[in-house]
Amino acid sequence: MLDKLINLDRRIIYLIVLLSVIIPLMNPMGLEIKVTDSVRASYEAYEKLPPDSLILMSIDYGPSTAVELEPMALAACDQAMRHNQKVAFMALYPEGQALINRLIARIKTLHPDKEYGVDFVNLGYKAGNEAVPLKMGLDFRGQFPTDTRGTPLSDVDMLRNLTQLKQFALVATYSAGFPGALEHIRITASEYGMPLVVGTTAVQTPQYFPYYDSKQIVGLIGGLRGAAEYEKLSGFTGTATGGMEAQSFAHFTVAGLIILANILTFLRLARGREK
Amino acid sequence: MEPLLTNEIVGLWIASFLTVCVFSFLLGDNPFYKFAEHVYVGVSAGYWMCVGYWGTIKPEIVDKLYARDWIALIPLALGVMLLFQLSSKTSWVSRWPLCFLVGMYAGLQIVYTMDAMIIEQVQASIKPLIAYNTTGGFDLWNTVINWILVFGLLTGMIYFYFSVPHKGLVFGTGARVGIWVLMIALGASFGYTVMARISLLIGRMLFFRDDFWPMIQQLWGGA
Amino acid sequence: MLRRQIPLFITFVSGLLLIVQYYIYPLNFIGKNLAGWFQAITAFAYVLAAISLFAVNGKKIRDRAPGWIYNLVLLLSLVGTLYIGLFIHYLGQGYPGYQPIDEGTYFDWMFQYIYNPLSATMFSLTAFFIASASYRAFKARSVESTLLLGSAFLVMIFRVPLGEAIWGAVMPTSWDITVFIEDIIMGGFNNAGQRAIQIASAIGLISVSLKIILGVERSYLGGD
Repeated sequence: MLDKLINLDRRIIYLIVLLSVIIPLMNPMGLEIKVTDSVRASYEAYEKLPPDSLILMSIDYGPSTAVELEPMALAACDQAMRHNQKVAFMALYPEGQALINRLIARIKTLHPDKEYGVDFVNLGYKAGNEAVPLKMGLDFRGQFPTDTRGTPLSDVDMLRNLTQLKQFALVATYSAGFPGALEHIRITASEYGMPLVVGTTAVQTPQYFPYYDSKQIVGLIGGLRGAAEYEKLSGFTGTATGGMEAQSFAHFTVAGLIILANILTFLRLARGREK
Repeated sequence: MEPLLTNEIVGLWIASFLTVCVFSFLLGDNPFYKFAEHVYVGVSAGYWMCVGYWGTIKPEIVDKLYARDWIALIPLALGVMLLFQLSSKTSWVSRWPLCFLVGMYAGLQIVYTMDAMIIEQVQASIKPLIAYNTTGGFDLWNTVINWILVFGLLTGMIYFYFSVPHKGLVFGTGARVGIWVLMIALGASFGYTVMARISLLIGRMLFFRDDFWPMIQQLWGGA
Repeated sequence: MLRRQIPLFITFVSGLLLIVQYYIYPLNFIGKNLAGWFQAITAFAYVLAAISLFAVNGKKIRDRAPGWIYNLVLLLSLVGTLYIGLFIHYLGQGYPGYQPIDEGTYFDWMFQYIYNPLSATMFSLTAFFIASASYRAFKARSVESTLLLGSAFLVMIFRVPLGEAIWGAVMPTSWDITVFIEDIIMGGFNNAGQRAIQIASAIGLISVSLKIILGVERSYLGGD
């Protein structure tokens, strides 16, 4: 029996994990989410900007990580639109271009009074990893001569007077990996001194904490948990808050499985010693 | 909810089918999974090429050549040289653009890594070992955190210093403590990794709950 | 000369120019141009990937290798995507928007309903694998592994609302577990450990980059 449990069929484990995610999603409990300092700092970075401030938002994630990053990006966009701030989207990730279109479609639904070119604009994806923020800081119009509709930046209402990166009040990157947050930290923030908010997947959150501690970035939003905290702060109804309940049960399930495996292993060791 | 259009309904059925095909891998490798995997590779390669062309090649090369900016011939030539890698006889030609990329990358690392990843991080690690709060009183909590940060970093760096044997009080004990600090840090990373992976699964379940199921309800209600 | 010396010279010059333009402000225009060329060449790597896929899969189809049907599926997917995202423009066929990859195009539809679910689902499989792997392999056999496990548990259990709620119900309100994890685990141990790793790897990165620029490290050239 002990050996059977230790060598449990992995498909049973898969089923347990699947149920631990599905059941809470179908039966939400409305658990409270506590807000941490790093997320609050990210929220305040947007909140303190006056209306008409220019924000550069770098959408550096793909469909595989959109579940964690899109809710925080969407909540931030909603916050910016409510405060009449202007958002210019760009992407270092190829899939970011299509996901910017998705964000813009949601903005148009949430804020029908906001107009493309006046309140938000899509500058599109640029290949080149670090070379993109490097050239952005040296020659912004050279890096982005037009938006994705072929309109020269001088003809885009909100960017008419923009010639340098430093004219942006804030840069935010929602990043899944490479290229993304680290490139912006090393060049956009450290080299060009731009205030930078970083939203990242939970996998990468521990490695960006040192940058928040050293104040190289002004805020850090980590994973689905960070997105849920941001939704709570901004009052935005998104998918992250509901997802955290499934997250809770799944975590307890995985932790329970690890504890069970350790107990079974110790029992087998003890039985082996007795013999 | 607004009624879905036909192309959205068809799209949702295709998306659901492909999702189930990929999930079928959990039961073992099978033709459905293989089909989905190969579609994914083909579509992603095509996607990256299209976006790379419209986002970068066209504005940096095609449009500049149309505007008679002949300097753009240099990146065009280097880019075409990269394609020579496909044949073993001519693969040496691709070394020129590769060396340009490698040289650029090496230059970027030297200049921009030093400040962001070393100097500012070391600066931020210089913390007071006796912390005071805003009213001038002794702050135990921040003192403890600062001790963990400073000595944790020192012992962690000692662990990574392999040029001397890890023996004695400084290098031996220091490296041992450094491993413990790293284990706690990596354990936290593991916890966050579990969070990330579970989030990905939650995303797919949300697709079925919020996109696929309402579509079924619409079709059912319409029928 | 063409196969080794000139490539090494290109590496040296491009790296050196990038460093020099950083320190001498009037030479910033070099950085601008080099960055633009870097981007263009990087984009050509995607073209290389697509052509390489054609070559490898085409050969398998031609030779009727085992599973060649899947290679055909791959190529059809690739050609279809390239058609709706690129060739459609140059074949003079219409599409909504400025470029064939804009919102509302066939390409956008493909991204939303084919690429998006495939990409997301492929990565979501890792949720199952991490649970299964943790069950089989994550055992507290030594002091180090126990520390790792303990730290992982604290983060897994108490960084989610259910864990915080349970803690709050059992412990006094002044003992906030969120603060403990944020400040001690993440702010203390995690920052110390991650910083040690990052500083060590940054030093290694700089030394390797210097060796590459000076031509000491040549493994990236491959064999002759």
